[in-house]
Amino acid sequence: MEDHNLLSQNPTIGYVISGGLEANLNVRLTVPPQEVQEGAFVIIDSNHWRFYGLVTDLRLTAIDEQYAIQLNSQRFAPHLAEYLNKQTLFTDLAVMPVLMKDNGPDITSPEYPAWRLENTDDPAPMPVKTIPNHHAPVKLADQADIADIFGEEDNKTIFRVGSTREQGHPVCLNLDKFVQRSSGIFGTTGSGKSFLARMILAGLIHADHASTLIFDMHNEYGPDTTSSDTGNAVFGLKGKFTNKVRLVGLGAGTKFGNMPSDFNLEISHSDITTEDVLQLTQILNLKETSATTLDKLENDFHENWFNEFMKMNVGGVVENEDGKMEPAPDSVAFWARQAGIHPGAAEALRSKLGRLFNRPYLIDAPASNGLKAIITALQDKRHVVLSFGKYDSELDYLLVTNLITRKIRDAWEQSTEDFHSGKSKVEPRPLVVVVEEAHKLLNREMASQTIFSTIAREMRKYYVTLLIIDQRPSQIYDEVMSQLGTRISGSLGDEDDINAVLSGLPGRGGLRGMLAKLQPKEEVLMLGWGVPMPIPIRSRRYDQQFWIDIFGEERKPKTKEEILKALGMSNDPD
Amino acid sequence: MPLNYASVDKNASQYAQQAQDWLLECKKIAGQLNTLYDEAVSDPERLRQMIELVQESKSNLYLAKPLQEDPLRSYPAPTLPDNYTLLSADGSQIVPNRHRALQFGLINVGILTVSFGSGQPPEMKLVSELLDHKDIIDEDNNLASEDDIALLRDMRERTLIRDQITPQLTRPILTVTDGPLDIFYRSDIQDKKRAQTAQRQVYQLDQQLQQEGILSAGYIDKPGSSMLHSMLEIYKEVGVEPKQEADKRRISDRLLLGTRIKPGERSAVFEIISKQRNNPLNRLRVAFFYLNVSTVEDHPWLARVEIPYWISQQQELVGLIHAVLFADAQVLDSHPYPYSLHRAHELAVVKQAEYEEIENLLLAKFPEGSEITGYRSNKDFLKGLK
Amino acid sequence: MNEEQTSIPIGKLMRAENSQFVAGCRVRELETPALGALVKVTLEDQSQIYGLITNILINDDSLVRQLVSGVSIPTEYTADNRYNRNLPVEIHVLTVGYAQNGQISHRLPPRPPLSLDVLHLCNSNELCHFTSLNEQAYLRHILRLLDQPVEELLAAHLRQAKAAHEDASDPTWYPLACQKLITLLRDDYQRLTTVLDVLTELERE
Repeated sequence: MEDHNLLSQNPTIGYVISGGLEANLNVRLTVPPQEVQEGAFVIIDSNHWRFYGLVTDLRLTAIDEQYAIQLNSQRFAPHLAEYLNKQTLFTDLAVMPVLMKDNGPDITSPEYPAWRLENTDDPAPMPVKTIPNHHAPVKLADQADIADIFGEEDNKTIFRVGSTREQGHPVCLNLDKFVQRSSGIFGTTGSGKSFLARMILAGLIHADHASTLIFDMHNEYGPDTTSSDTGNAVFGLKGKFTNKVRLVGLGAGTKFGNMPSDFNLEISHSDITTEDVLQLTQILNLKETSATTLDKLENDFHENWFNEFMKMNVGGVVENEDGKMEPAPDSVAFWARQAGIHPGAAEALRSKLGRLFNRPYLIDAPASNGLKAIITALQDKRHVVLSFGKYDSELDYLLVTNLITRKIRDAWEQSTEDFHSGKSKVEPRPLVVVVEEAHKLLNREMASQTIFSTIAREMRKYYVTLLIIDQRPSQIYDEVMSQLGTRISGSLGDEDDINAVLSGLPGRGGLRGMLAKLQPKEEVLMLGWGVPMPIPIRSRRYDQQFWIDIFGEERKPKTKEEILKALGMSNDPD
Repeated sequence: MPLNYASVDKNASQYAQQAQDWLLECKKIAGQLNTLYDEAVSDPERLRQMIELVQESKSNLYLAKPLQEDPLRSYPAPTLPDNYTLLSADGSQIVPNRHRALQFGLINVGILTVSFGSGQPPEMKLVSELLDHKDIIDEDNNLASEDDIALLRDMRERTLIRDQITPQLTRPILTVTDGPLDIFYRSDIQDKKRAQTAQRQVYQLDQQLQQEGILSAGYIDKPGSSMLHSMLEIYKEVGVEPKQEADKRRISDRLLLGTRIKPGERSAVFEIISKQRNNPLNRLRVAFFYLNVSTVEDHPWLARVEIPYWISQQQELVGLIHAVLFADAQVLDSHPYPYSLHRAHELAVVKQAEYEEIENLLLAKFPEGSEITGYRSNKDFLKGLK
Repeated sequence: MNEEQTSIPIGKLMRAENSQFVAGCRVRELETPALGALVKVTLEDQSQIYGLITNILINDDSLVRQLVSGVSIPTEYTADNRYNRNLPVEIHVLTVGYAQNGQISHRLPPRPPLSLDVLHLCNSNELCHFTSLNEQAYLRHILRLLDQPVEELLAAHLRQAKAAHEDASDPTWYPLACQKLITLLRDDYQRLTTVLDVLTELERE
């Protein structure tokens, strides 16, 4: 690790004048205010500690307000006015201190040996617990500082997501840490969150320490597409990671644009549980009585309940011995009477479930077990992108995502238990479930019921986490939001959305303004547990250069000289 | 010790009453004398003859004798010339003090020469003379008195003024000193011989000045003399029937003349008839007039201006002196007094600090423990304690 | 450097304290000292005290008062008062530094000057030398004055010093002195803006 007792390369931009841990530090700027932006990552050295912080505000101040109000340059001779302004008008920064690191005393000082004994390894940055002294110099962080905090890019686990806004130093995300908790990518429509998501998914796939299951509602991730803004081609994940990624289409015949799927998913009736149906209560407009009915159905028919129920008809009657009309044996009413369920309720349920019955991808006996195939692929360290094809209604989305994820939960719970009990030597493969339009699945009404909130809250101990991509974070159940580790947000306009992104993170009020002012498609703010400190960045471009960087130089056509050099046959002396 | 104010206060009202009674009495007598004056000077020739009669018979005289001007009139000042030179001299002295460690005397004379019409600031001269030892102790080892020293000073004023006059000065030239023109009026002069010598010198000096046409005058502010009263007494003695008693009080000329003289105007010129046992033969013959330097009606401020007799014979010269002195007194208007004399005085005055400086300077000339610099008298020493 | 030849004796010391002193002067010499000029007093031990002239007072003289109320005063007598009479003119001086063994300091001297010392007007060289030391630290003494128009004094002094420095080919002195003033006064808006107004006026002349 570099010895940071040496001064940072960057010049001093100011010095600490007041403030504290609770409220921010106030820094008197010694350079023109235009050289510093909100969100700038700064370092402050005091004794042998280095503090890392974020600029959250800039304010114009004056020794006396009157100097600020009057136009000194008009009233006084030019050289007087100039110097007067320098002496009386200032800019102050509000700096939110986040981390600090003990750099130890100077290596030549007498305290050094004792300190070294206590700290055999160079200390790492830790959350800030104290403050710098008055007049401690403040500088913009340089590349080394950023690498210290965010890690040095290794094109695998430490993945570059962007660069600092002021000086363009690379900022990285630790992907291993990223997948340890659920996370979220937020931003209004057109804020570039899809590109960001693609980029991070590409990074995850490339790093290959976790698998991903992507519910691709709008066919954005799998196949190559075209940017709606620029008209340029946008590469999909399948095209670049051909072997690793499986494109799965829901229902027979679903394609990814004109790209074929690797296989199609058809769901057997017996895969549908009553829980799955209950989770569709709101959308199917089920009554309270449905739960009882479903329970009874399951009791009677076990895993074939869906099929059996589907087979029943509504309103079928026969004439009985007495000439009266009574429910036919294959009717809902007939069964209901037998089961002790109110016939009307059961019939109502049957009508409502008709919508489900009609889904073409729900088949009594599908040709292959698509669900299993998906799970196997994921366990095999592959990645799955599920396209919904023409089945893109809310009902489809809810049903399918829920169902699949439930299966995944079961599978991963099992393998985790096996691993812990010693039955298996293999640690479960971490899995990230990528969900778009999360507010549909994770809003307050649904949250208690869906599998997703369970995943968000509990499943990381089973190696499964969520990656939420959404433009209305305020709609997402705040309990779930507060569980999110890393949050990456593009510009958000709505105050509730901004508050939602910040929920559960203590003392982050200073970031509020930053969130509102991010440049769409260009800038994002990273914050949360998974990130050492909050930081606004210019996001990395998801373009041809990105792919060249990902795969290294192998894909770049070499020049003749380079080839010769590589073969050891060059004319260059070195 | 602090005064016993209570016992003083007891007599204060009584004192005030006495003073007021006195003034009333004086005014009453002055009123009477005023009336008598009208009668007496209505025939100036007759009065002159009466005085000449008495001049023969009496041995001690000090009175006024009317000259050719009408004593009943008040004379306005003529116009001031544009160019003239005024020389004023005044002096002060240090008198030997037998209580001090060292006895010494000093004369300090200041002379102001103003060239009116030139616009130039006046020339100043200051002469400081340490007196010779023989001047302060006579043959009988008597220490010179204040009047002795004053006499020397008066002489020096006149001689120094004389020395200041150069052909370059613009004419007419007028010299002014403070006090009577003739110096022989001091009572306590020990050295009579010297006094007589001085008087002779004055006479000769005036002769010189007369030859050169240089005017001189003596200015007396708040004069106390009663020469006119004495003149009227002769009148009564010689002329009036029945014989009257001598007046109980001597009334000053100022009081007697009252408001006869208008602001800025002068009385008629009189001659001083002064006779004493030891008069030298050639003695300065002096005339005078009273000048009202006030500018306020009914509030006269009479000063006496003494001039050499020869000037009195030329009315335009008298008028010149009148005009010049009145103008000079107006410069300090709330308290009229000739500015030039005041400045000469200012130049000449010896401050206490300067007195001590001189004393130290002289003491330094004697060796340590010399007998001459005897100790201060104990009395004086103790007085000096704070 | 023949400094002694170029200084001008202008008065006697009347009273003194550590931070200021008063010298008496004769009227005809009124031409010589100016507001804001740098002066010095040489003490018995050859050390020197430096000061700036902050006020020139013509004290009341009873004779002058009499004259003033007089009817019409002949020219010769007004000339008499202007040139002949020892009108007690007081020159008030603010101490701004001292020199000992040739070392100049901008702090207050250990002792005030004694009476009867002679006051000298510093010449251009001395003015330049004294004012260029210590980043014009001496200016802070001027700001101590409470009952005087500080800005006028500063303007008068700076004008003289500026001219002296420009003659000595040092045009940087004046802007630096202005900067020092701004630094010293920036907490007192009223005073600083008054001073800057006067300096701006000065520069526009």
